[in-house]
Amino acid sequence: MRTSTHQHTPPISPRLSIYRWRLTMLSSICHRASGMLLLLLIPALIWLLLTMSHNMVDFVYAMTWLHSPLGKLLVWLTCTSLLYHILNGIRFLCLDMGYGESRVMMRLSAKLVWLATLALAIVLAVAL
Amino acid sequence: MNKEHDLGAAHTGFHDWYWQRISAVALLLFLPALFGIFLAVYFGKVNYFTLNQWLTHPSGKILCSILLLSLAMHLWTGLKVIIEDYIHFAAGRVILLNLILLLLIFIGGYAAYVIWAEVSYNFLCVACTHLSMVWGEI
Repeated sequence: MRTSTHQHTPPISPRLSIYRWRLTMLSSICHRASGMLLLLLIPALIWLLLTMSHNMVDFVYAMTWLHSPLGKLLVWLTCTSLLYHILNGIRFLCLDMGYGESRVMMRLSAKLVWLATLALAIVLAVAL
Repeated sequence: MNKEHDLGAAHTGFHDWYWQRISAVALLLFLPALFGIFLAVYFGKVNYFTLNQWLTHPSGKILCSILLLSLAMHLWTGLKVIIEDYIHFAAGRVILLNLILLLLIFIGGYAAYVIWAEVSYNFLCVACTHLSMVWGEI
């Protein structure tokens, strides 16, 4: 039911409290969430890499810090969220080009992205 | 796609969308490569001298600069979309976006300086300064 006042209020785009939660919706939200996380982590890691490549002392210091429990957690977190963001990003690019836009394919690709991320997260947790 | 009827106040929505995709493709090519180097260093497969050679070589610097530029572009377009979606108070949104843009320019400029200037710079932490004093500059 539309009233005249309702028409003048601008639409507020992510209606998280209105729509029912689904996997595809969770994928989109997590894409933003992982993007925000990487925003904080990736510049730090690039800075770390540049520091490590310019000074031997810093290289040794950074390596010992990265192999500490906190450093390992940071590397794992970055790897996992980066992989999720990349895989889901490829999914979004395919959708933009018009591939896999049907409901079945959307849900299937979302499931595949989640499974791949989960698998690599476990592998990394063991390897790091 | 249907023709748009309302371009919005700034008329830049399509450009943001377009450049977000362009930078996404650029990042898709470069970021996994850099992250692969990082992981190789982490697991001890690449030592300091090889890393130094790769990242201070002119081609390495150019690739790093392209990565930096596309990262900044992707960061800006992505953050802009998120802020425009979730912050509904217009003045706060504008101020926040401008602050973020300034911060991005400063950080990007600093990163570009680090890539191109031949300096050995420090973490600027007490432990490193102490280490440098003990070991001397290697």
